[in-house]
Amino acid sequence: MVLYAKPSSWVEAFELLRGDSSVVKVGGCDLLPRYRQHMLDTNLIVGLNLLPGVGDLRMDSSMAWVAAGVTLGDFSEWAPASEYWPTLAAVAGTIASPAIRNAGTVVGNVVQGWTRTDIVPILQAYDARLVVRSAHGERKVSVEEYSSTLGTGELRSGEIVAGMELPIPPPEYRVAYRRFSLRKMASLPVVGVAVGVESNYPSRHTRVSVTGGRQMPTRCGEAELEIARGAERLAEASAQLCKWADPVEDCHGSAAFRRHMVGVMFGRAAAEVVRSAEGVDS
Amino acid sequence: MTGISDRDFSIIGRSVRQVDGAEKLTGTAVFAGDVYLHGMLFAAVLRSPIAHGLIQRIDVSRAERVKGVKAVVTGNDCPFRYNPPLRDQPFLAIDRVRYVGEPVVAIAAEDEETARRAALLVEVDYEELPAVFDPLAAMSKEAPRIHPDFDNYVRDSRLFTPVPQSNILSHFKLRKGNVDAGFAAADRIFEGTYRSHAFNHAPLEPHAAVAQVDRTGQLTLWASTQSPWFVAEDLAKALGWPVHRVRVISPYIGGGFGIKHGLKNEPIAVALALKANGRPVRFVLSREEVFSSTAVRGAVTVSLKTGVREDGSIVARKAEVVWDTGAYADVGPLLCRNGSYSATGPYRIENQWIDGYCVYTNKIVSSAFRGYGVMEMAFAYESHTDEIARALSLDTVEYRRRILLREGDENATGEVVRSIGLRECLDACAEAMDWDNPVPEGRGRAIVTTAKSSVAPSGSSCFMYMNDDGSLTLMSSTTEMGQGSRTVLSQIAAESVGARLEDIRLRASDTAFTPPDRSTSSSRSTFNMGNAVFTAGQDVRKQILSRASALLEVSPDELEICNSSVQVRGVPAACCSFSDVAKVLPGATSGPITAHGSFVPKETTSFDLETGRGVRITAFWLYSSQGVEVSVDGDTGEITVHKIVSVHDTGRTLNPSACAVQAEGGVAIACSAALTEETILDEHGRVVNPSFMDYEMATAGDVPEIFPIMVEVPHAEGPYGAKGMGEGPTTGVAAAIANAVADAADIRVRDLPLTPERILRSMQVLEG
Amino acid sequence: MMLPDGRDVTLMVNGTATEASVPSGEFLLDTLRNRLGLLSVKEGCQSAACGSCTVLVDGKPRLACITLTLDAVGVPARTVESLSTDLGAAMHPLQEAFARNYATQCGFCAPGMLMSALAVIESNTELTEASIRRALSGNLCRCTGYVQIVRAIADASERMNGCHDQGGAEE
Repeated sequence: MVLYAKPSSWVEAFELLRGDSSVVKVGGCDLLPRYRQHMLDTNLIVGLNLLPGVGDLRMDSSMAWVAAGVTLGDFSEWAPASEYWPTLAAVAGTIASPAIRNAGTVVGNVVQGWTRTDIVPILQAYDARLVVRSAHGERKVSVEEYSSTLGTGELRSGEIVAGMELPIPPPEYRVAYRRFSLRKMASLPVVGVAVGVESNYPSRHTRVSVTGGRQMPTRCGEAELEIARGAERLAEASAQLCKWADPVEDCHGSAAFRRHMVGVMFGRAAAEVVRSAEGVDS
Repeated sequence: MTGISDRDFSIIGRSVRQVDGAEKLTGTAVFAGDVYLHGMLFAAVLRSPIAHGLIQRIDVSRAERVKGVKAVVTGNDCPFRYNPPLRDQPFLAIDRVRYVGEPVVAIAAEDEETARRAALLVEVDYEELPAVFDPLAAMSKEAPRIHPDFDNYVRDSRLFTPVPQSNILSHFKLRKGNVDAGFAAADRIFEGTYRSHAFNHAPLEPHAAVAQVDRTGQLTLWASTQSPWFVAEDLAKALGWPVHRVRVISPYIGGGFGIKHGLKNEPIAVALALKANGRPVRFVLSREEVFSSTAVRGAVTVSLKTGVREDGSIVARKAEVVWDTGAYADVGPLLCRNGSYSATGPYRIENQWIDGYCVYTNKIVSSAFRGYGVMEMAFAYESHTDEIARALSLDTVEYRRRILLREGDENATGEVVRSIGLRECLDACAEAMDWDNPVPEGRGRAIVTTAKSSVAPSGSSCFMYMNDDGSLTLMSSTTEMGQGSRTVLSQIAAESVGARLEDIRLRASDTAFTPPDRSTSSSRSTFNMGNAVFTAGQDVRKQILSRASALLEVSPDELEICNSSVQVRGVPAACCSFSDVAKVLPGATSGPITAHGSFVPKETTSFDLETGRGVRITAFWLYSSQGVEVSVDGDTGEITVHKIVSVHDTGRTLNPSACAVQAEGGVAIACSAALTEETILDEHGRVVNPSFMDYEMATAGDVPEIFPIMVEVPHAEGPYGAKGMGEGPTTGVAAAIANAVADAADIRVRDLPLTPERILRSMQVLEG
Repeated sequence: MMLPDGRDVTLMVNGTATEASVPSGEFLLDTLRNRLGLLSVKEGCQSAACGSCTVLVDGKPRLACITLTLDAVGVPARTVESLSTDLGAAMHPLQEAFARNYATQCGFCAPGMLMSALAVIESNTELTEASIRRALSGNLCRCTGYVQIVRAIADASERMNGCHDQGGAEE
């Protein structure tokens, strides 16, 4: 059996994390199933759930602060979420299951560095960034950069993700997300595409972020450039996206299938925001 | 005898509440994993990492030294083989391993963590052998021989014929008429090969067993097994013991669907118990073990060739069926037989030729699944039937009306079919699907018909006696795994005696007390055990009348029984209750009211091994017709099933709600399996999706609207005319969906599952 | 700084305070089953994907298999035993609705299913077929196809939340 400690101060937490046989846990949805399957290579789980501020969810004039302990359920029910980051709020409120959403954290989806994730492409579309804290200070890393590494590889020894800064998007910015999985509920996406554009077209601020397009969830710059040029460039953006895609093959689908579905999901997501961008029915 | 009468029944035919509902809903129902005994040890198993190899060396010395370890067992410690009718499967691998996940060493310790840690300290050296995964490749003489000692296995040669010196453990043959002449006389020939995939039964309860051998040498096994007597006999035979030395108790089972019929994890618990000095040993499978190394519904390939006349009537049909049975036989030989003889479908076909091959491969074992091969056969023959109808520009429902077997026809095995509700099911389905009106724009639809036999010969028995308070104890080995057996058997008991339902106390599934019953499988229990219960009930009824007549001082034929009381007909005041009758009066010449009931269907016959023919190879058939309406997304390949109509001939519907929910559940499994499920293996024979994260089983959001309908074509021998229906609902769904997709999108997919990727490839939308 | 293995804790389960001594790394599933004897909480998998172990912690559905017991200290937890265990007396209206609607078959998923059902009925969510199905998205069932479960929850909600329709099949 693995030991479990619940430090009540950040200093205590960093102390417990010295050495390689301890691991951080907040929501536990990645770590604890692995523990249950006896796949954890650790002696000590350090739970951050008692740390001051770990559950903070607040905003100011430029951004929201989503601390490490904020669950998907908490976030989806927070009124400002639906107002400023509606797509993120909606997806956070419907993925997985109620029980998972009551435990799993918004930040955890990024931190654990999963390849299949709905939340990460959407966070990339909203330009979120993580605040990484250690005994020696803090640094910030964009979600985009963090999630280019599998697992927690981006973190150095002794670092904890304290939370996430979620900038308030530009006023006319809209994000749509479309995803595909074999089942309608409770499944990770095989592919998912988040498209963000500003409605004052052409848009300077565009995002196309994909899970299932490549190994890690990531943005496609070429598609973003195309879409920035205008709604008539959608087909070209889709072509760029499919060319850019280099999907994995596994039991959920071949590379060809994923590439095709990336194109379809992009088309659907883009159609929604471009339509709203052009003021045609919302 | 169980004739049909017009009188009103008080309990039969009503949707009475489930007698075990309260236990299940309050969480007090005990499952095998809830059995905790004093001194219990916990098991862990080391399994083969390779698909095929010789065991060179096993070193358990480090494991044995771990504090808390109480028993370590290898195959050589318990070199027994189980599994009727082909006893090929060892408790633990003896000299070689044949699939990834095969158990090699078992450990029992004071707690699970200790057992697991000890298992990691075991060293096993293998000499890897070439493995074969494709059953077609396995059939060739050049393929690696998976069971070189096959001829030494004890087998029941009356039931199947192996192909010597090969991996083909059974070759089933059916020969009727002259197919070559038939094809020569045909106006048109159609051919198709249809593949059903491997998928997992996935009951929510993982297999659980607790085994204990006491000081007298008596083995007691609590297990989530569907068929306690079947398993007791198998274990006893394997160990060389009399059956009474093996007591098997099945508490409530958390879903079976066939994966809990026959020995699965129990032999390991038993092997450890034999070395545990009287301490009980608990072995509950992890979900990963259930998915990757226990059993699957294995893949089956059916090739059909049909010759028809211009009007579509069938002159000849030839079928070749290849059953991938995995590394061990399990139900392979029987599945190959019972499935293969259904391969040509419930149609009027004069000339038939069927070859069914059951083939070993180095993969996870294929076991029985709800439908016992008919799901796979129906996918083939019903897809094929639609292909023919469309080619001939015939309405697919009208075509079936023409070619379906009718009362008095002879079927493939030579049986003259009686009480055949196929046409009734088809008509009811067509009406519920509004077949005469066009399907909504953008949708496709299809209706299929299937027939599934129930295993024979097949005996059941029960005991019934009256308690001091006038209630009745019914002792029956039939297990309850959600199909509602406890309720329906209680209904039959109550009705046959004249008791209130709440006065029936059912004691179930303990071979020390509940008398022999072949199994809870094959939709056989309502019919077989139901008849046994009916017989016992009638006997108890007679004894009650005899006592009551003495008490009330009238002759027995002036009495009637209702609601656990006996009354002089027309004189309500002259009555007595069952509890009055129960008391043994001073000076009475009779003892307690006790009865037994025993039933074996009359005159079922065996199969001729050369022709596959037998005039009555089953006591009854399950007839079904299912209809599906779908639309297909041309961009994603997703199939949306808008509704499924599922019609079943119950003979007599003993409990409408119970039958309806069985239909709903069976349809849901079949729909999920057809669309999104597959047990997938990599090139090393390892299951790559052994968890609910990667095994895509339907959630509450994935099941379409289901409309169950029961029709009644009574069976002369069934209790109150009832047959069985539990397996009907799984049989036709895959075919119906494939046919509806053909209707909607004009593509014919002959491989399951019908995933979006497969649909897109069929539509030639994907490159590469 | 390593904590000793074995902490004395007070758990609030089904309205009762219970003392237990648990290893720090123990899961709530195992504490509930093995120490508190609440065998209704079932283990159907080890990847937090089946929902059989669903319990309510602070009124919200949680998976006991990935909840560490120490994280449930001082917070009220409920299992299906909190509804009713008395086989003789009437069950809770939610259990009654399941019984009336034939919403359980093998019974293994039922305790977890009932907890998820209770949570959605007691929440402020408007209950439609779609919202009921979403509430059950984490509870797998193999026997029923979910058909009657959804009906039972709608039925229970009407009776519990004050729609006074007395219709429906009743035995």
